[in-house]
Amino acid sequence: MRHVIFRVEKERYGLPLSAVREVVVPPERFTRVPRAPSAITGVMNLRGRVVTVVELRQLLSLPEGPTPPARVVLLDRGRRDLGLLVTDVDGIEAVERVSTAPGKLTPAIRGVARLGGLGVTVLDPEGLDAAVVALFTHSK
Amino acid sequence: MTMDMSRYLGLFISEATDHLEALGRDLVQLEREGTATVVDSMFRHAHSVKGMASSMGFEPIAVLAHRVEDLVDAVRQDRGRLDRDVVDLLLTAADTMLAQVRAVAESKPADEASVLLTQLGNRYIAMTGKGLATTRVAKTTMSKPAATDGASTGTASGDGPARPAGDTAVEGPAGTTKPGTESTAQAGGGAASTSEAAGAQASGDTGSVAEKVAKGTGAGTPSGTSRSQSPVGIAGPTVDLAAQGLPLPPDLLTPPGTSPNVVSASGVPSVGAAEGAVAVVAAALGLVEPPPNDLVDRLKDAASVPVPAQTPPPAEVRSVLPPRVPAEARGPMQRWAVRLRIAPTCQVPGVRAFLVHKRLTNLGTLVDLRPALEELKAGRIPDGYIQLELETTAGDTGIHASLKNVVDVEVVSVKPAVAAPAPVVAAPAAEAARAANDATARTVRVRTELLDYFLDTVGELMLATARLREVGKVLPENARPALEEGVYRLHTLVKDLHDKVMTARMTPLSLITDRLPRAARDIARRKEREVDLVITGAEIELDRAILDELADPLMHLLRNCIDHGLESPEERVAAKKGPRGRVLVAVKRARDRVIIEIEDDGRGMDPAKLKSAAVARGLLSVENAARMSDREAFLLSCLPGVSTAKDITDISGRGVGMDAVKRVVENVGGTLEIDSEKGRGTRFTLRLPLTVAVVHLLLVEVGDEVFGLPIAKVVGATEADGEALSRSRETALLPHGNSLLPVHSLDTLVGVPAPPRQGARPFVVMDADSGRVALAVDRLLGQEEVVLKPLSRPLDLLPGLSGVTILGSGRPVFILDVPRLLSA
Repeated sequence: MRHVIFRVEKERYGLPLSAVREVVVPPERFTRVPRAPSAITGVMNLRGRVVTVVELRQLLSLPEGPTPPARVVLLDRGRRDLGLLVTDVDGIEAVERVSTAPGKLTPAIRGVARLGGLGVTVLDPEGLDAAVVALFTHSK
Repeated sequence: MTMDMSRYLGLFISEATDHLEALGRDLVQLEREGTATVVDSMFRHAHSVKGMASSMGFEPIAVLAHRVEDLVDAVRQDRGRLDRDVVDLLLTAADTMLAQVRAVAESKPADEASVLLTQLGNRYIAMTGKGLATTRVAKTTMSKPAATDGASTGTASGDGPARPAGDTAVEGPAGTTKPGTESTAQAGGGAASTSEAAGAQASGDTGSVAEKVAKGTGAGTPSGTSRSQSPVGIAGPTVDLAAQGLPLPPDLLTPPGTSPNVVSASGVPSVGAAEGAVAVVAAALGLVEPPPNDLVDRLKDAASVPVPAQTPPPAEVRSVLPPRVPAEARGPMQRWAVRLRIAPTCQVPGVRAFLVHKRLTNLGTLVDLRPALEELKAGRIPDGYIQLELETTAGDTGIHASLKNVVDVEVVSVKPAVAAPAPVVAAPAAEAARAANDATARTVRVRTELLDYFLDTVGELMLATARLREVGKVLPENARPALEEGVYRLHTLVKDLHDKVMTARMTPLSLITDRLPRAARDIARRKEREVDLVITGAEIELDRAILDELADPLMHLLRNCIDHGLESPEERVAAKKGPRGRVLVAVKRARDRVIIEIEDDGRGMDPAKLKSAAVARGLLSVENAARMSDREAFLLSCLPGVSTAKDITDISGRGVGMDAVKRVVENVGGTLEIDSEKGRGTRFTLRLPLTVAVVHLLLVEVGDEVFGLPIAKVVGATEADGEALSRSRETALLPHGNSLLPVHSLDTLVGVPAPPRQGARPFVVMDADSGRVALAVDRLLGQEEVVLKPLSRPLDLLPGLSGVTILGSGRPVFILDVPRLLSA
């Protein structure tokens, strides 16, 4: 299946192409969301729609890195306007044979796959959605 | 070959849901005033659901619908058989079927509901003394949507494993799409009352109509008509499919031996046509009682809706209005197509257009007018062109003469219009073509997300236009006029488009009030109350977004009225009232607001009790309580946890709910008022904006973020030195009028870091749930009128936000719900 491949620092991640609406450059500034968990970067105006942007690094509890995030991957989730802030987007590749990912099992991660000799972590759109909602419900 | 039904699933779900909801409404009405028409209508709904479900292969739904149909039929024969328990049983069945439909919508198996089936069956046997017949269901397979894409040839044929032996069906070769193919659909046979073929009801009437339509298209379409190009082409395959789809249910469902049905289906629909065909199939499936002519109309209607090939499966296109029937062409009366142009220099195009309209209506009957009259009067005439068709005896010279001395109007052409259709049998194709031309008179179902998208995009267009205008201001003087003219034109067009989008979003309140009678009955039944629910003004329209938000609050208020407001029949009699309580839901329109009043004639609310409940919970001080007016006191019922209901039931009375009602109403830009008189009743008044909440905001800055505060809640603003304020237990107090208000600093409330400030700073005084508060902000940016957008997941999970908007600069700004911000 074709996946959009993007990076958080050096690590590569993939999402099914069908789950991604588009990739955009982040705006100069995000509007901060009052009382939102810290993983929520803020909201942005995408052609009249207000999109909530989540920093993928924080959502997956990855360590902080030196590279500023340069892309927003917008998920195609109906009226749920959600974007993932990532370091960069590499392109679209066919990803086959996903095997279990190492480490703690989280619904956001489907598994790992081999791509061009290197590993790529395949994300699960539904799981990502659930992880974002969980951020909001747990913080209370 | 099995039929791929997945593409019909969306339509099945929406149609079945409509029928089941209508069935529920009928039942409630039936209990009150059982007229024969209501019973007939119920029968029709049950029967339609049965037909649709069985042809879709959803056996549990079909079986249940069949039992319901039997029972309704028994009631139809003798209305004395109807009692409360039967209504309860039928309502439960309707609910169960709705749940089943929802289940299949989520591609889960529908519940078998065997207990309910037994109950229904027993009841039927007890009523009639007759045995039960079995339900036949089509064996179909549901393929996944993805698979459908691949199988783009989409062959829909009546050939299936469920075909009863003995049927002499003649199958057209797959892939045949030649319009000339003769379709002979005959469906004869008797309509056995309990076990007849579901859906198309294999009655002679229906069958013969199918035959007529099928033959009509087969023979009547001019040969060589390409099916997916001209409107006629589009109509072609749909009607053709109707011929195919219509006999399908009898083919699949008639029990062997009941009737020698002969089914012939030929012509495989192209994929492009299939969406349109859905409507026809549904019309055919849902068809039970309408007389033959009605059917012809419905088929023609459905057939004439042009459907783009790329429409995704859930799109629902359905025609509602019957085609307008033109007057017969007779005698000297002739139909003329007239084209006019209003000069671009005309200052008052609306007046001129109106004059033209008046002159021409004096001559004869205006059959078609574009743009519509309201548009003309408003002067909205694209490029000045007006098209109309006029039936008159005056002839073209008469038309010319009558328009000769209208200033600024130029008659472009007057031609004889296409002749009125000849008798139906001769030219069904022409009929279909005309119906297609008349498509403007029809309605189309559109998904609400699409409407939301239109509104968002039009909003963006408006912003983009404003930006263009700004850019124009820095251009050299000589280059400006051309751009400004263009921008002006763009602006008018976009504004017009915006109006249209807003109009398209208007939906009658009946969409939600239609559910109330059923709910009222259920609540009253559970509480052993007697209630008459009167609903007026449900035809008044509101923006869809507001309507969606209102469904729950209205239901809650209704519950409140019946559950707390109304007394038990004995109490009522003791209080010299009639034993039946009355709840009135009145919708009115007052200028740019819609007012919804929900009123009961029950025991009323006691302001003293509400006050003491609020004081007991520490939400109100004793002094404030003493000063509070009754009207303010009634609103205390909207505070979380305040309820004076003696008993806490599962229906209402836990003090949750009224706060939610108030919040929703305020979030859409409305207000809630409560009036009550002890012993006389309670009235809730909701004042709502007509369209998507345009709210007045006070914009304030905190750190480098901007927030909006609803002006409705802002009492005033003052400036003071924050450090100099007196304090009580760490909380600063701001003198305001003759009281001291607690100060909250907005940066900490919203969690936005702001540098500490010295000296004077602005404070905004606002109304909160329990009195006024002062908010310390960094800067007041002024007022703005904005379009409120509802919060989408996950933002709606955050307390203290009532919406979001996009400012002219393109910056998203949150609108704060200060009371919730303070309490959460």
